[in-house]
Amino acid sequence: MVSESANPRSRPRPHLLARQTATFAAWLAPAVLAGCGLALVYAVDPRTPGNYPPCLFLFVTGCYCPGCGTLRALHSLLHGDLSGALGYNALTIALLPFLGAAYCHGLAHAVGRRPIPALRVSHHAAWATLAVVLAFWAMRNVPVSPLSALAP
Amino acid sequence: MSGSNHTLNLILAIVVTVFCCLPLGIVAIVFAAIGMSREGSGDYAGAESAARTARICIWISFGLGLAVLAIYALLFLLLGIGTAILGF
Repeated sequence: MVSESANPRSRPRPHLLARQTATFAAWLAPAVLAGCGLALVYAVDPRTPGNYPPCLFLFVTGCYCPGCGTLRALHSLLHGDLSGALGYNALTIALLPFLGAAYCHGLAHAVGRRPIPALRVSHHAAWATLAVVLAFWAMRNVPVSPLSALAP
Repeated sequence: MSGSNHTLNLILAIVVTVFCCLPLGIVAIVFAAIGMSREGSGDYAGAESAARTARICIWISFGLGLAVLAIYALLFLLLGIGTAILGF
């Protein structure tokens, strides 16, 4: 860093390489973390009480949060039980393809050789996402037959 | 301020909402959406300020989620060691 600031034009290549490596590491870290997390959730059953910490919101208020049942849903999905996964947390399962696609796009955008256009989501989509999450949150706390299916 | 940063905020806000189990993630989604709306209407300073608030909410949510996990793991470990020593 010191030598680079002393003479910025002498060695542009190692600097670029270092930046690319740092970017790649920054994008690889979440994938490694997610992989470790998924392996843990696959191996250790979240349906057994006490295996994982309870949801803080559920613990304090007694109401489900939008994320309650995520670990059980992922565990079910990893073991090939899609309907079981949807029963624990349909929102998480519905959002997974979007999150996966966004990650792949971000990775390609950051480390790909050819520049690809930045991912642009309209603000309408953002507000719609908020509405879906809030509606899901409210509905899964209603203990009436069709809506109670959304509870974990 | 590029649009991809607001998109990243929205994605991270959704991730912490679903995985960190804290309603603060909802607040992060709100501010990410506000940032996108403001950028759409040309209010770049307002968009930047909303994006900053969203990012703070994301980090607090992530940190709290991680802290709960760490405290739980520590209790689990201490309890395990305790029962092993006491021979229950």
